[in-house]
Amino acid sequence: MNSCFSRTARLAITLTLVFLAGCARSHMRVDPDVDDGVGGGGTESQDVRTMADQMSRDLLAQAPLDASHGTPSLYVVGLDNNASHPIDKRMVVEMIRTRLVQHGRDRVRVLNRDASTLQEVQAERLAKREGAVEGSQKKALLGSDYVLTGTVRTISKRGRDGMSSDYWVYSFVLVDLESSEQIWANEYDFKWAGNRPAVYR
Amino acid sequence: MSPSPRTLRRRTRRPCTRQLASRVALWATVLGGAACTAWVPPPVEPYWQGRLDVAEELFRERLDSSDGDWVLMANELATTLDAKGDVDGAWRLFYDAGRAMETWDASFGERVGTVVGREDTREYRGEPYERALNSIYTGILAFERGEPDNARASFKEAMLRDAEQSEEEFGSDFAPSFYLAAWASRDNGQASEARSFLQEARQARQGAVAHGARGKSDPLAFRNFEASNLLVLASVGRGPWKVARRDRPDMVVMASPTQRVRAARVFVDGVLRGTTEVIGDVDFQANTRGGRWLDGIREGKAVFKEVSGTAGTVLLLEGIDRDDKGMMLAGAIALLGSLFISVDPDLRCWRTLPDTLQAIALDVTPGEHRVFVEFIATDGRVDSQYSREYRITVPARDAPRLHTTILHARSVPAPTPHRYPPTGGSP
Repeated sequence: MNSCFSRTARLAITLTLVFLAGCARSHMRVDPDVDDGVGGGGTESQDVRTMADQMSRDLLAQAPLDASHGTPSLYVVGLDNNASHPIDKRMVVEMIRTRLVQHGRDRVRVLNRDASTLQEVQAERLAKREGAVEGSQKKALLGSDYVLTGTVRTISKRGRDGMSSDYWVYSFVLVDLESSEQIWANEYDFKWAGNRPAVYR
Repeated sequence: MSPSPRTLRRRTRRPCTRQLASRVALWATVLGGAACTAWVPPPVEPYWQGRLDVAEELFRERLDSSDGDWVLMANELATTLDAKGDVDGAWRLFYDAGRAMETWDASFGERVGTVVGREDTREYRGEPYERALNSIYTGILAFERGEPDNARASFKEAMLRDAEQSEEEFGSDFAPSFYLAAWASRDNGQASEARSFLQEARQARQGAVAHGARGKSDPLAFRNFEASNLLVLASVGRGPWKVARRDRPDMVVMASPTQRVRAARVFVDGVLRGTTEVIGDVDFQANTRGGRWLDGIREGKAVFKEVSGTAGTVLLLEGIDRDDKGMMLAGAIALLGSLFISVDPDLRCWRTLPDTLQAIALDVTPGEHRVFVEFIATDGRVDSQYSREYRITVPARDAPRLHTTILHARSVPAPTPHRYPPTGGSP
């Protein structure tokens, strides 16, 4: 009797465990600031977010922006990738620009000089001036006081038995577009090191 | 005398232990069986027949339900999108697949599954030549997206990936990585770096040809680099695939298909400007490590099986000779272990790769041009179903830095084949 019960109980427990394992969620929402456990060796979501936050906040807090002639303006020119791995440059640039707009409303005017956006702006201005579309406000295109540029570099090493390491440095500088003076700079760096598991060698 | 209750419990437990053992064996068989299903890829013929919409649908469907072959399917889908002219879509997929190829972490289950079950149950990360070509195509598309710096980064990544070897360290010998990095560096305004990469491309090409790679050791595209502002690249032919060796089923060898085309002929505004030459032999890259020809790719597990089998036999015989039960047991366990290890080879490979990467470097006047690319079949005739026309705008020469144009054609039948010969054209 006891043996029978324990057999039934064991079967029930096994089936429940199998059922639970089968029902475990394979996809779930995770915090983009936390390591996702998937592994990797490049620029991760937490790097992009931390970098965008750090750079925008530090620039707005530390850069000696000249506000004597009104709110200064800047545009983000992009990232120059000098690394040994491709990156999604547009994502990094867009996140920094978004945060500058969000946090720097009174400190700085952020211009969008993306080629496609500029093309849209010019086409709309032309249409307004030619009377093709209605437009009450006609303004001059804003010139920029500063430009924010960035560079990415890596030191990549590959060794025996699948050993590898990659040191990443993202450097950002703000340059005065009248004097060429570099008035602010900051960097964000991180390093990956590891080796390939035996099953991949 | 009736048995004590303790003896009864022990007696009733014995069958339970046996049952438990049989249950464990049953579960192991079920799990082992689940891991023994061979990899069945979606058909690749629609891609090679130029039915790119069908190929896209097949690869996309498989990508959504991929099981260990996401990287492979992403690369095959990206190749298809590239052939369709979807530059951004193809770049995104190549880029994502490239990042996944860098993720070496394997879960405990994956490691156990790889040892107990088939080799092809692990997440696919690619052979060095496939990993290098992922970077090269990511770079070519980055160039087309107007990101020559990202392109250069991709070509540098290709050099690193090509140099990844498990047993010894070799330098990269895949010339296209260096040659394309030279173009990207020059476009980034770094002339001296470009010259340095070109020199490395020459050395890599000479080394590869010396070891048996097809094509010239100093192709015209290398010699014309300084005076050119248009690079026409062609992914020519159908790349190799993996098969198990007949005499050694645990060994994987590369098989080369019969080729339909061998080179591309390039016309600019109707004028024949030349024929592409091999700058990278994919078949050679797949079959060699640092210039050394491989008998076959042998996975670590096959080596383990052989070693543990031999060690088991030696221990068992030695144990019998010495009458050492411990040694006999160890030998028996090792021998038994080797019998249960599956050594089915991993035949997964990137099936939409070309046979060769070819190039022609041209000097064209700034402005708009019509570039016509036609592929020459192996019998010397032009196979018109592969021909296609591109419209390009070459930047002015007095620009602050030399902006070059890279055009990439794949030898798959064009969706709307151009069947007319351009002016001044082909026979």
